[in-house]
Formats: sequence, structure tokens, C-alpha cells
Amino acid sequence: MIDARYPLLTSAATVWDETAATVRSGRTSLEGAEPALLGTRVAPSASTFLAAWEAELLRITTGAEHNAEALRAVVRDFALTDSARAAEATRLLPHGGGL
Amino acid sequence: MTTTIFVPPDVAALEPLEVDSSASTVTTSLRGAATQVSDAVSSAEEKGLPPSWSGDSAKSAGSAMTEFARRADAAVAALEVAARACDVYVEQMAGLRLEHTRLSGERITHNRDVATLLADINGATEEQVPALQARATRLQEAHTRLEDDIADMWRRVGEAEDRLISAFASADSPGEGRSLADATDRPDTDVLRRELSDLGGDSDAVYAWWNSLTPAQREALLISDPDLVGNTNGIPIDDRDEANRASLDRDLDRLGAIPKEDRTAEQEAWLLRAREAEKALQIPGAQYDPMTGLPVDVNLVMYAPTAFGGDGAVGVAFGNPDTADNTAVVVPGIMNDGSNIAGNSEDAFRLFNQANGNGESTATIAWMGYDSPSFNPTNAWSWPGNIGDIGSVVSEGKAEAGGAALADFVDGLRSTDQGDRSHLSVIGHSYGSTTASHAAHDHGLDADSLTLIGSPGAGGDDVNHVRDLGMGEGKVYVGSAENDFVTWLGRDGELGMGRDPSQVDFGAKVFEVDDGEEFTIPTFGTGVDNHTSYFDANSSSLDNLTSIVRGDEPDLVEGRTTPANDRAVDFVEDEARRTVIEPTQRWIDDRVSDAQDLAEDVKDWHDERVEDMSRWADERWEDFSSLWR
Repeated sequence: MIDARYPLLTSAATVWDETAATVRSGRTSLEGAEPALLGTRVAPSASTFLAAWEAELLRITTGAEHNAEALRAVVRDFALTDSARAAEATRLLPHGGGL
Repeated sequence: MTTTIFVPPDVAALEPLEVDSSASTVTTSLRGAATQVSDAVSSAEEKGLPPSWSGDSAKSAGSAMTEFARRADAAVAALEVAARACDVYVEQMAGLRLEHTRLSGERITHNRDVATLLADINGATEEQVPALQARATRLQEAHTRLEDDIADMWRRVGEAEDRLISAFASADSPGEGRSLADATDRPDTDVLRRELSDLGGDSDAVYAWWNSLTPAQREALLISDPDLVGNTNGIPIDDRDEANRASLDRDLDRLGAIPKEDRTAEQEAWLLRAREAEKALQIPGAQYDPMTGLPVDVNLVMYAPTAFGGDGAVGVAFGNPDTADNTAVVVPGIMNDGSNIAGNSEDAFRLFNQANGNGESTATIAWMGYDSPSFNPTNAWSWPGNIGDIGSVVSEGKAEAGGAALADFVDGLRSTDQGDRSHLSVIGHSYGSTTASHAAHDHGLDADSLTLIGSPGAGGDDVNHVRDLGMGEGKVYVGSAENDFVTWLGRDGELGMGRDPSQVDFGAKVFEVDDGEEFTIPTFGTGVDNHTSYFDANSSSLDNLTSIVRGDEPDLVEGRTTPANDRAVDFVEDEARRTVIEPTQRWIDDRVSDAQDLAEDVKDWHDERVEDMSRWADERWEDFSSLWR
């Protein structure tokens, strides 16, 4: 059973959007790092480290965006369901043309 | 007889060190990324699941949030480890760079000694052989020692590299990040934050506490709370700089990623201040310090871009105040805030450059750490926002509050000072001089000297003489340009900011500054220039400020004997005479002259009409008379 009001779901979607934006911004910081500045010997391991975490932060960002979109989809589905139910109910009413 | 003397060979040139101070930007990027991901975790945990949301969907959302936090926290843990290792590496390489420079110098000396010995051997007599042999032996020993030292330096370079390589390798996968995050000895930043808060702003206690932390604890707090670490007095300048640069990096990335048209006014103001701070850190000329041959050590000692209702608080140091022989804190005045710290930094940098050339190390700080009366673009016409802010210049409220903040900041510098006690000067300009005076009078400013330039008043009705400022004997200096209108404002009472400190009877040491050009209301810009020229290159003022910062006496002159306000009154009277009375008099004279001309014209017209009438009457009389002839 779903016990949530639409504004709560919408606001949760916004939180996920903001979260995705913040992590994406963190990834941008990471992309700005220049491993070569650490010297020839260190640069390869620094590059490996950076590549690994840039990829992971991208996955985290995508996950957060997916959560936001999923919540918005639920809101849309609820709205459609409510509209359909309302239309059905209206048809049952005498003045709704159902009888 | 032939004698053989074994002369050691030259020492080969050292390979250059690859790593310089620019490597610290990698640490900043790692830390900036960690800070932002850490912020995302905190924000999601705080706002992600409203308490009023229940049921299966809430459980599902909670589970998603937990999973997100778990993965993101693993990233933070890995980045913490890498940033800490990188920070240590850069610091070690800085030390090794100094060692490299020293050994390169010794090599040149050694090779010159070898060449000299060889020249002396050629053509030497038999009697000189024992002495030459002894020199050769000493040179051989020096050669061996130098080669050993060079090998040792490269060994330490290799070890530092190995440690960093190992740190990166230990944390370069999500699984390893997870293990680091779950480690039982991972620092608890909530506890650390509470401990710091409990110290209540006692900078000596903060310094002792900070030094008691492990490197891992310091790094964790620096990443989770860079704004706190960067702006807490008593935390060493290097660490404050690292924390503030992480915050700056975060703001530039995060706010810069929002399309301009989508940014709110507050975000736009925030980004403007972040970019201005970035500009202040990149002042042209700071790339090279003639004293060391290295880039100037520029430190972001304060960074709170949203403080004071969006005006922002920023401090930029040229040189490191913790290690400098001479330190100066420059306090700007009205119309300054975080949005023009780059301009204030240029002043501080000019002072740094000039003061730094006497063989002693120097640090100068542009300190915009108080809420100066200024203009806030986010609420241009609001009351009591902007209009109230500008209006506050006629009162001392902000100078009083700023005085407390300045005194605390200086206490922090004293707490973190290393080695011999630094000679510390505070220089207040304009409203900043009133602020600095309040710091001295109200809070006992712990500085070696206080300098007031372009001062509208030495703050407070209780400050009637230099001794009321509580500084050391003869350690209050004043510079007031003759044609700086702000220095004509000193007075007590509600509409004043205290006594004019350049008056003879105030008792401060008044030093020579250029007069500045005379100006009038139409050339008021010149008057403003006179007020903002104290740090100009090649000015008497900058020369004397340099002396003060170095702990020397400036060129002194007699103080003023004409009350400050008399100058303002004279100016207003002169301007009133020139712009109102004299033009009005001229206008009246012109109108009188016009009226006289008009009267003349009317009279001429009247006379002509009378003449015409008379002629007409004569002619009509002639006509009439002719009827009867």
C-alpha cells in the first residue's frame, strides 16, 4: 500500500536531483586533477585511482537520477490513475451521463 | 721526481625534481571531490525521507537512500586516504626540493674547488705537495659526502613516491573504499566537530587540540567540514588554506555547473565572490618570489562567501603568517566585501613585495573578515538591506562588531605563530581604521603596531588620546593625505566615528604621505583617488607602510592642528561659494543687466512711438489747417 502524498514524492524526487547534481559536481572536481603533476612514477597509479572513482561517481550520479525519475513516474501514474477513477466515477453519476 | 696527487672528479649535475608546488592542486581536487560527495550524503540523509512518509514506498525509498549513502561514503573514504597521502607527499617534496637546491649549490662549489686544486697542482713546487695532497684528501671526503647526500635525497624521493603509489593502490576500487569506510578506526567527524565547538573560540586551545589530532582525523574533518576548519582561528594557516581551497573548488564547480539563467540572485552573488577569491589567489606577479625564486606562498586564510547577508568574508595572505618574521593584517574600509577582495589583495601584495626585500620573511593579509558598510546587489533597494547597509557607514556599529572579529583573528595568528614571535602590524584603511581602533580599544589588539590610514575617526567616544587605544608606547601610526576628504570627518558623537587620529593633540605618530590633488565637486573622482592611493606603487605612503611592517620607524611629520571638521566645512563653503553663491550672483547680475537692457529698449520704443505720434499729430494738424486755407 502506498501511503504518501504527491508533494512528498515530488519533493523526494527533487532531493535525488540535487544529490545527483552535487555528486556530479564532485566528479567534475576529480576530472580537474592532473596526475602528471605528481611525477612520472606516481602518475599511472594516480590515473588508475582517478579513473576508478570517476566511473563510480558517474554510476552513483546515474543511480540518483534514476531514482528521481522513478519517483516522478510514480507521481504521473498516480495522477493518471486518479483521473481514470474520477472519470469512471463521473460516468456512474446521473448527471455524468452514466445512466 | 714525479708525485701523484689523486684529485676527486667533478660531481655530475643533479637531475631536476619533477614535482613542484603545483602538485598541491591535485590534493585540492581530491579534497574538493570528497567534500562534495560528503555533502551529498549529509543532505540526502537529512532531507531524503520526510518523517510523514510511511508505508512500503517509504521503506523502498529508505532502502535506496541507504544504498546511495553506502556507496557514496565509500568514495569519500577512498578520497580521504588519497588526499591525505597526496598532501603529505607534496609537503615532503617541498622539503626535498629545498634539499635539491642546497645540494646543487654544494656541487657547484665542489667542482669549482676541484678546478682550483688542479690549477694549483699544475706548476706547483715539491714543497707545496703535502699541502696540496691534504687539500685533495679533504676534497675527496667532501666528494664522497656530497655523493652520499645526493643518493640519500633520491632515495627519499623514491620512498615518498612509493608511499603515494601505495596509497592510491590501496583505495582504487569501490570495494576497497567500502573497507576503508567500514574500518573501526575511521575518524568520527561528528565527535571532532563537537570537540572543536566545545573549545568556544579559544584560539590557543584550538591550536593545541588540532595538533593533538592524527593526520587521518584532521583530513576527515577538513573534508567533512572545510568551512569550519578554514575559518576557525587557531587552526594553522596551511590547513586553513587547504580547507578553504576545497570549499572554493566546491563552489566554483557546483555553482558554475548551474546555467546562468537558472541561478538565483543569491547563487549569482555567491559565485561572483567565489570567482573573485580565485582571482585574488592568482594576482599577477605572485608566481615568482624574488627572495626565494619560488612562487609566492598564497594562502586563502578565510573563505565564507555567503557570510554577512551575502556580502561574504574572505582573507588572502601573501606569504605564510605562521612562519613569517613580519606579518601585516590590512583591514579595508567601506564599500568593500567579498566581491572585491582581488583589489584589496593587490594592495596587500604590493606591500608584501616591497616589504619582503630586506632578508626577512614577510606575510601580508588582505582581511575582509567583517561586515563593512557596502552594497549588496541581491537586494538593491531593500530596507533595511542595502540602503541600511550604506547608511550604517555613519555609525560605528559594524566597526565595533568588526573590531571583535579582527582581535580574534589576530589572536589566532599569535596562537599558530611558529618559531620566534612574528612582528605583527595591523593596518586599517578608512572605515577599517575605525574597526581596527575598536579592536585595540575594546578588545586589546595583540599586535606590535596599529596603523590608521585615511581614517574617518579612531573609533568610540572613549578614545580621546592615543593611549586610550592601549597599544605599545609609540606604536600607533597615522597617515592622512591632505586632500583625502575622509580624513576630514573625524568627530565624536552619533554622527562621527571618533577623533581624527592625525591631530597633534591625539598623540599618535603621523607619517608622511603624498597630499593628493585638490579637487572640487565636479572632480570628486580625484578626491576618491586621494582616499584610495595609500598603497600605490612609488608613493611615500607605501614606503612608510613598508618601514612599519618591517618594524622600522617611518618618516614622521607634524600632526594636524586644524580640526578635521573645519577642513570639511571649508571645503563645503568653498564649493557652496563656487557652485551656488557665485553662479547665483552671476545669474542675478545677468538678469539685472537683461532688465536694464529691456528698460532701455522699452524707453527707446516709447520715445520712438512718442515721436511718431507727434509727427502724425503735426501732419494731421497740417491737414486740418489746410482745410481752412
